[in-house]
Amino acid sequence: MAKELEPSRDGRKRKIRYAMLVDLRRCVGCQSCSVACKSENEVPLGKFRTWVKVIEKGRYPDVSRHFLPSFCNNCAKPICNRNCPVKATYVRDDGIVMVNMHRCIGCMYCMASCPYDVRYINPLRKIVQKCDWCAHRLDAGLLPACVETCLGRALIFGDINDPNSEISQLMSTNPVVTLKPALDTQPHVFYIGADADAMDPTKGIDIDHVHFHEPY
Amino acid sequence: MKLSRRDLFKYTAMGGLLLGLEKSFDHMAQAMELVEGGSEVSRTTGKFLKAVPSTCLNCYARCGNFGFTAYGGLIKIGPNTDHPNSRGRMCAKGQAGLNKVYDPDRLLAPIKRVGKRGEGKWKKITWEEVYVELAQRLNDLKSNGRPEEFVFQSDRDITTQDITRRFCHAFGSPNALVNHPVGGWNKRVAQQLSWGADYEVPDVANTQYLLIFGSNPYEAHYLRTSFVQRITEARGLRKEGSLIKPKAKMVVFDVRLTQTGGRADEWYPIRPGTDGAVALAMAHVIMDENLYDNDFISHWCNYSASKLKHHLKGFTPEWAEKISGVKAADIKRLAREFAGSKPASTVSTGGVGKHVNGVDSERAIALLNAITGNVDVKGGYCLPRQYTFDQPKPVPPVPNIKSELLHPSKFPLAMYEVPSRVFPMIKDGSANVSLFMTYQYNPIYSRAESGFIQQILKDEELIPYFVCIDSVYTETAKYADMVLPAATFAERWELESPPAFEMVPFVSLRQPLIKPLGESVSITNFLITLAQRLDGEMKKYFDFTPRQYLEAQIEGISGLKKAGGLEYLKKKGFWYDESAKPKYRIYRKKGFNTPSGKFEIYSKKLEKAGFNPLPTYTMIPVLENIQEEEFSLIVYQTRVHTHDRTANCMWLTEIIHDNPAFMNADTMSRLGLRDSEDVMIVSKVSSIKIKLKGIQGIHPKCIAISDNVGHTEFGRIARAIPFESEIKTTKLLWWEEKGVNPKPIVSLKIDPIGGGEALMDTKVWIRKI
Repeated sequence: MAKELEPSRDGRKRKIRYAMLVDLRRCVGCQSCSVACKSENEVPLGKFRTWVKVIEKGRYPDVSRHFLPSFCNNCAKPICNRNCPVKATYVRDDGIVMVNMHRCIGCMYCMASCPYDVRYINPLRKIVQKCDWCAHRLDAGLLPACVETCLGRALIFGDINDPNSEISQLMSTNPVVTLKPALDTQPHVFYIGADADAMDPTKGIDIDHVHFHEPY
Repeated sequence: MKLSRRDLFKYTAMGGLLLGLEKSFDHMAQAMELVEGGSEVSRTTGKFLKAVPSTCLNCYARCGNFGFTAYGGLIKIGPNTDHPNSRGRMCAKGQAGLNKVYDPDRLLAPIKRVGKRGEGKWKKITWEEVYVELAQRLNDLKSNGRPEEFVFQSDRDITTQDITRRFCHAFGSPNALVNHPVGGWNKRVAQQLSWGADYEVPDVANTQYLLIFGSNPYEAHYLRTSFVQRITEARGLRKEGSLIKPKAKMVVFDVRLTQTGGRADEWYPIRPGTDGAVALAMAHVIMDENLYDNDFISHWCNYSASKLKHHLKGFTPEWAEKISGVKAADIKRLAREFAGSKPASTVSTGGVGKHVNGVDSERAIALLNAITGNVDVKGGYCLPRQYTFDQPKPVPPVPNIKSELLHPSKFPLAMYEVPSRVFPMIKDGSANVSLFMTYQYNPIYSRAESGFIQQILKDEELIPYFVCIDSVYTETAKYADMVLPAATFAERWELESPPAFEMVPFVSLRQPLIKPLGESVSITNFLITLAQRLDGEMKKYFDFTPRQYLEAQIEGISGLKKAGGLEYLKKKGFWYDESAKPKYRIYRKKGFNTPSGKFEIYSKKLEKAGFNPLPTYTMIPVLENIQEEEFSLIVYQTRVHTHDRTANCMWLTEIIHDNPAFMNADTMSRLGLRDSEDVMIVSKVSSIKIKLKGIQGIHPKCIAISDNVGHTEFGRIARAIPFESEIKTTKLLWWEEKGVNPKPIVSLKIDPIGGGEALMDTKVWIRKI
């Protein structure tokens, strides 16, 4: 990783590595990202590519709320793409883990291996889909739909190979954590100010009446 | 106020990083510039879609949006990056506006009742038949000399309000009423009495201290998206010139731990309806310890500091502690903090206003801002900056008929009607209604004691003819004689001017993103066409097209006309004077819009009507001496729904489709109640069966139920029924709970000053099943 972060000095084109930073000091838990994603990617009912978990912790009257938006981590060492029998899932040059919908046979091996449970099978199309940070938007020069709409501007997206990008700047000056770092998948969704209990499925009271993914 | 996207990044970033940011996006240009907002690309072809700028109305915040269209259909609704208020942010509701347009159960043709009222038997009719029938009924009313018996209760956006009022006045009826979600009225009346404007706009981005009473801007607020993004800005480090400002402190008084309270620096669970007592006690401390702004009080208030000190003598923190449960020591400390951190502002909405003492409490909270000199200063408690719109000439005269419905004599100060009195007045005969027309109004679901309203609407003697205009078949539409399909906000022409957070007023245009679906018609078009069919002078007053109507509305705004008028708005979606700089203390020019021209701590209007002219606190009788087994009922808004208007939006209802009754977990275990247990919640009016959920973040004497779900009509999505439709995903509808509407158990109480409904003044009991 350290080598990759070095800026290029000879002016040659560097490789882009996209990453998402969630600044939880600014998150308001509004679920705008979840709905923006549904709208952008035509995600069917019952499935989410993005979800904000809301928990309450503490004892009355010392109670607080904590949020945890989750996305595909687009890991640097993804497990999911290793066991695809038809090579439908692959990693783009900019680090995004993709599913080629024309190749996918819906066998769900990848879903079984994803430690973050971010892949789902589309019941209408019978193929596996996942958050790809709106790759079609990135290719057109637009930010992912969730980032664009985030009310508190808690989502920061960009190239971490660029030392001057907002995301690099914020990550270099704030402690960040990732989900399940021990698995060494090298997730590329980073969190500032995440609450340890929000990252733990067994702790806190889940305020929402529904929750879909348990990406921890 | 020139606010580029780059500036936005600059101001919103965390302190130490401000310098690197400008560069960051320049650098991206080298590789690939990622931009936000304003465009949308097709997932299949990679081509950019056509973008139509407009203004959202899936809640009342009225943010700037873009409709992205292809092949004549609406593909997506996204945020408008350059919009001065919402600045390229859009909440879940705004984006799910798409669901509202393409709701498979949407009303797309006029229908007429064939069975008994409320039986649900309908016949499809043509618009021609509608106009013939309505014209005949209206002409009859007019020729019989009873035009005031035509009552129109419409939605609350400005253009709709204006054109329905115009229609009623031209027809000869004063009864153009506005449906307003309960409680908001009290705040508006209180603010009008204090400083002559409807609302305050806290300049949150520049503030140092936010004192929040009964308000939850993180989840629901009438300017939510614009408001909350500036709060998060203020809660981070900000840059001012070369200085880094510390983050703003946020203190919340609320009976529930909301997202706002849960992320605040301090949250105080307060007894419901006692916010006014805490505010008065804080004012007492500020005055007593001479922390007040003498300059503002002596020049701009109509009551002297020494008299005010005397008035506040009895409102001690110890007194407030007994009433509210907030410790006197905390009240004292917070009062000192509030007076010492400048600029500061209070925020207060439903939690304060939805009580019978709503006006008094709101006035007490406004007083805090006046005595600390935070009124209309940068970062303070600011007057709303808005444009007002003209009417096409000739303007119909206001009918010279006294209307009990519009101005009930029992509520002399309720300048904005008393919406919840409409049905009781029809019932007791103090108002005669022959033709009742509603637009986007669902009282059977949304008003207190909704069972009572259902009976009145069913009674053909009381309301001989009832026309319901809506885009969905609502619980209320079920009792109509005729239901007319309305165009949704994505299919209409309207103008808006919400209060500006950048303190430079702006005009925002709502234009059709697509043509109205099916036979649905916008309210403006409907009224213009209907007017042409009526006798008398109606034609003269409605001799315009919808476009000409909008042009006449902006006639008085010279800057906009110079920029290109409606054509400019169509291209950009909004307009503001780019050369204008934010101005503060605007009251210095002309004074406040009150009888004395000052901030009225002492209101002669209140005195004349027999109320206490000074900010005071009155105990709420129902909530006094609440017993061990009694609770007060709190009805609140969730973060993905708008009152009763969004349950048919599948993406929203998927997130929140159920509304358990939230209770303090410790109280529940003391009473032997279990989580997820079904119980009956009983009030004096009625009872509902609902499931309990125990949490820590709620006052032990409260039960909180949200009021967005639990429909019995409103389409299949709202009622959790999976079905096959053109939108394939509706067959995947997976949730089974559809929630419970809490309104039937809410008892109808009204603030005697403001006339707004006191939705939270209901005492309830729990009965095990």
